[in-house]
Amino acid sequence: MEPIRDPEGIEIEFLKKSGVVQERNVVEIGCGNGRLIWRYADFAASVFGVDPDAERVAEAVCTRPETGEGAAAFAVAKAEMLPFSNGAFECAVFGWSL
Amino acid sequence: MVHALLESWRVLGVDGSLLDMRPVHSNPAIEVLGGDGRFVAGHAVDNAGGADDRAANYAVEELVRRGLFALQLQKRFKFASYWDSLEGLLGYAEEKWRETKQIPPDVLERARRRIEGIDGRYRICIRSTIHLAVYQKREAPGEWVAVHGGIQRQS
Repeated sequence: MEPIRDPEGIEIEFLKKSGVVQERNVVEIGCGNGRLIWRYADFAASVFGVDPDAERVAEAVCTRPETGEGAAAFAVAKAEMLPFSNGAFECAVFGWSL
Repeated sequence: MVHALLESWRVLGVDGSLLDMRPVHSNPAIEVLGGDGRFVAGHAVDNAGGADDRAANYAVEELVRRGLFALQLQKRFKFASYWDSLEGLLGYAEEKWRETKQIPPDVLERARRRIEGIDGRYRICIRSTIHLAVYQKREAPGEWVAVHGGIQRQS
């Protein structure tokens, strides 16, 4: 049974305080099922999630919250060979993936 | 891990930020919430011994040593996960923790005794410690160039 994680919103509060995702083009490397992405997609300029596990990426696509205006794109890719050009992003997030 | 970080360096623009956020090795407390408050039944035992932490720390420090990233800030905070029942936690632990973490029998017994004494709803809580660090991208030293899959030394 999956737990309810961080209903207090402490994680996203610290992420906001770090100031690195607001209004920036973000890639999350090892995004898994998108749990973290959907918590900050609302306030980033753009978000791209990548993960080598196709099933988890499919789950990430399906779990977009009904509330919130955030959007995110996803791709199945290995962290060591990202399908992006040099300098494509302003922020790279490793959220529970290093 | 070093290769993944090198690849993140490649796809970041000038002054780009790298955010590393992850749970750190700990023996988290297992709490029963309900009745007249919060009861700590004991601690789970993390058998991994911090090996994952050391590997991740080494990888990040390696890129800092190479002059590719500079540490900007570092914080720690607590992250709570809640289950509606002890069985829920045990099912999760069996599926996800496997050999990496264990709940000692005496801790389980104390949690069960506490739950038996609660009239009504209770929750189980585990609080993990999360490490958050932000690094700023630095330009590569002259002999290194960005290539797909990371960077490499110019021949």
